[in-house]
Amino acid sequence: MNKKGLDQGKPRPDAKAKATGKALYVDDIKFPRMLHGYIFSSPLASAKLEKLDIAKAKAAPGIHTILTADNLPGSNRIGMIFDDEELLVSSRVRMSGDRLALIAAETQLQAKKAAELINLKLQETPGVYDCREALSPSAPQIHPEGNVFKEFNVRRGNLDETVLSSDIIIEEDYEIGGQEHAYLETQGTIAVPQADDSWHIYSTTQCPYYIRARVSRFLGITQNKVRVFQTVTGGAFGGKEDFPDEPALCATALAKATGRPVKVIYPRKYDMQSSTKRHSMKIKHKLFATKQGQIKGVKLDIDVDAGAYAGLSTVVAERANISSVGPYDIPNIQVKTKVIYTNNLYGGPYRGFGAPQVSAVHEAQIDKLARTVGKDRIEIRRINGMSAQKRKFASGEELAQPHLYQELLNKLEKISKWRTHLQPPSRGNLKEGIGIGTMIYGVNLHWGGQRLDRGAAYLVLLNDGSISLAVGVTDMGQGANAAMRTICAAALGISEDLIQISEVDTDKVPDSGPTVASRATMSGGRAVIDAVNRLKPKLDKIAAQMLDCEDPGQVECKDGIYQTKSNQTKTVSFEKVVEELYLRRINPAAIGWYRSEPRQYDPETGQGKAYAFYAFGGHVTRVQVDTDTGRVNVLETTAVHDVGKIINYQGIKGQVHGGTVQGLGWALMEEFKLNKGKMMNAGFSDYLIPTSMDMPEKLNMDFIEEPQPQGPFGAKGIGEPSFISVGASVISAVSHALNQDLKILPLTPQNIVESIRKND
Amino acid sequence: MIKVSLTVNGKKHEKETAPDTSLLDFLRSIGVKSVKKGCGKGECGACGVIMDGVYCKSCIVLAIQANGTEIKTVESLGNAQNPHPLQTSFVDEGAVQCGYCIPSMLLAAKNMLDKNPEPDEKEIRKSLDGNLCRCTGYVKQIAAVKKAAKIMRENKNDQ
Repeated sequence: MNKKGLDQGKPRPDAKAKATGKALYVDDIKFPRMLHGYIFSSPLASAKLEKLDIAKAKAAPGIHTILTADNLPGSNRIGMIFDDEELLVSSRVRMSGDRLALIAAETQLQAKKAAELINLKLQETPGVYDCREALSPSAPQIHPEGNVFKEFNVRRGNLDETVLSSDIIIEEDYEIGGQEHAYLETQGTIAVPQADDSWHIYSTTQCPYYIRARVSRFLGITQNKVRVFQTVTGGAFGGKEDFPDEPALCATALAKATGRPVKVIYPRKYDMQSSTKRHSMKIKHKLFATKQGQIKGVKLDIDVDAGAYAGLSTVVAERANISSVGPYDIPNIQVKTKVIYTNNLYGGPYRGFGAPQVSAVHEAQIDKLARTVGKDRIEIRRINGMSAQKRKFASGEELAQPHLYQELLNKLEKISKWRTHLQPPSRGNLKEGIGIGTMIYGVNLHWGGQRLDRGAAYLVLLNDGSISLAVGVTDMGQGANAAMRTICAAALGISEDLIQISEVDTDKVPDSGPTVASRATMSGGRAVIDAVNRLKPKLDKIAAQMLDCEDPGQVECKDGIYQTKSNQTKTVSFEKVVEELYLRRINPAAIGWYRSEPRQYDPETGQGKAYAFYAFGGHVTRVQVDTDTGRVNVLETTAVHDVGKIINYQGIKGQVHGGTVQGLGWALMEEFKLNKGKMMNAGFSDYLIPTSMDMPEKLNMDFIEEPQPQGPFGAKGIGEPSFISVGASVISAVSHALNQDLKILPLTPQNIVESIRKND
Repeated sequence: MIKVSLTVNGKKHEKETAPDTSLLDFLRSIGVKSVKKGCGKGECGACGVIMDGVYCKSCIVLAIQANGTEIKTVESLGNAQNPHPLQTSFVDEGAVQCGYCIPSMLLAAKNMLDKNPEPDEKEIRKSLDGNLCRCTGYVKQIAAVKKAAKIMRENKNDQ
């Protein structure tokens, strides 16, 4: 392959095991005397638990224990930020899929059959299934605190009379749908009690340290009694951030009750019907501009449907809130974001973390402004977008690299051949269109989560010159381990083949925070570099002595060979230097650490430094819409991302391909059918995700590489940016094809046909 | 309980099992872990095997229906030391991310290439249509199949 990154062009370290069927995922692991857990759950989303009789079920063959809220061997109250959830419902059901009982049996089938013998009586109670209806004082209250459980604001400048009386005012109401993660491997855990009263937890997860903290809290034991092994993880996309804690707690409870290892694997249907989702949002956007298309102010009201439990919804909403203005420097801003309980499935992290929803809206609005003032959609972004002169983000902070937004627009325009597609052919019912979506992404955690913004790496030089590397950020399929290996090899000047890295074991590396927010490369990478920096001076010193060079600053290691900068004839291998380090009995191990710079931010006004640094990204999408059927055929996409520095070229391309196609799924196909909070299309026959037949014929991409000093070798992050602006580009393209403003996602055939009908 | 006996990658297996056991669960119960469960309903394609020369989703075949058959899983293609061109191409092209869909997808591709050694892109896409992947966007997988097909044709010509 073409080498265009920091990497050495080698396949990722896990690829071979995965392609030969040798990689072990959590369901592939078993332990002696292991039992199988099963979750008996509520089919209703709002109900009173009147009867839960487990006597008959308990007597069924193979059953070891059945747990309810009455005999749970741990704390029943759980939650990520707010303790608003019960592991097992004691009296009130708030969400379809709420757990009522846990069963441990010899086999999965026995557990399932026993569940059929549970005598359950639920009294359905009035629920609320729309986040705006939940705002009404007469709506059922899901929790005692009221349905609006958190608000976020951005207040910059002043929406005064001069703004409010602008020549151009564009006011629209948008409805943006949620999304199912649809990782191919469902949720699962094995909890294994140990002889010394400690615990081993095996889990498919992005965040093993979250599991450690929550299992220890559940059992009332210290964290050093819980060791979490991340198993090879079959996709996550945010869906394995906080949610895996729940199967982990279920397995732990059953293992505690039986004293035996317990495996809990979610069947696909229950996984879809109970796990967290991308939030659906209803967003009112009012834009004030001059006749020339200069935006003077924006006012947004963002209503986030959090579902029945808080989970991480407030954190997602915090990002949506501050990202909602987009990559534009707008002097007067007023944003209010409400996080609202309903009886729907609860929302959680999903690639983009609230940014894709608001990106779809700010981009649709600026498109409409372009049409209103008669300007090209890229031109209007040039006028209002960040640039060397326009440097301020919604938070009021001046960005370090605002000019990259203009470069992004230039590249998108050129690569997509934008101008040649502006008057597309129209053949009867087949209308073509081209659209653009752009975004700004704060890489790493928001100010509100900066306490978690850390990373650790444990690096050991072995006496044969090979390297054992453990990093606290997880590889969930995205290729983080490949990136860590590349960074380590580049920092040491050796071959990537010398480095062994695998899934996270919480006993090996200190708590590195969650692997989210496109922060793996940045926080893990910086920790790896820090570990190298702690060992490298020792190696350099030894190498200098072996090369008869007085100044260790004069030696360098390249491709595993040490030499002095002045005399390149004399060399010594990296392996020999490490061997000498061992002979001298010098500590060959180091813990590397990273933490972001502390930031100041005012949550009342949303002003201050929201993120460590920022990345821009954008998509141009070309579509063909069948106005008879509403079906959209994606002809071509172009993605451009500002990534600082490419670490692993193959990996970054994979992220952009995957993010684009996942984004097209969200924008065009993936729609929840909810009936009173219950997902009626839980399965891949009814909830459609893109197949190889749905992807566009051409996916172009390019990158902007201007190093960001805080990232490892200047790198930013790509996981989420690759997804965020896809939805916006699809709305833009379909609106262009149909010559009307669309205000809804997903643009399923039905939604398109209805929009056409309404417009006629 | 009923007795099911079948051959997996050339090795004979015989085991008593409940009559409603799927071939997928049966294979996993005898230790064949490369066959993955993604949905249990024939929708995701992670559990594909080749049964008597026909690619099928093992979660919607009963173990008893497979009685007496010859099953091939990804292990039949090759291993780390001696990989099949499809495996090599998937690894080299970056077609593997989380990897959960890969063993079955390789078999689907193999099944297609056995019948059509020189597929065009549309035929490749069609052959992978039943194998969901959420990570890659399929781009590199299609490229990998194309590359493997070429290598396989060249290998055949060399013989």
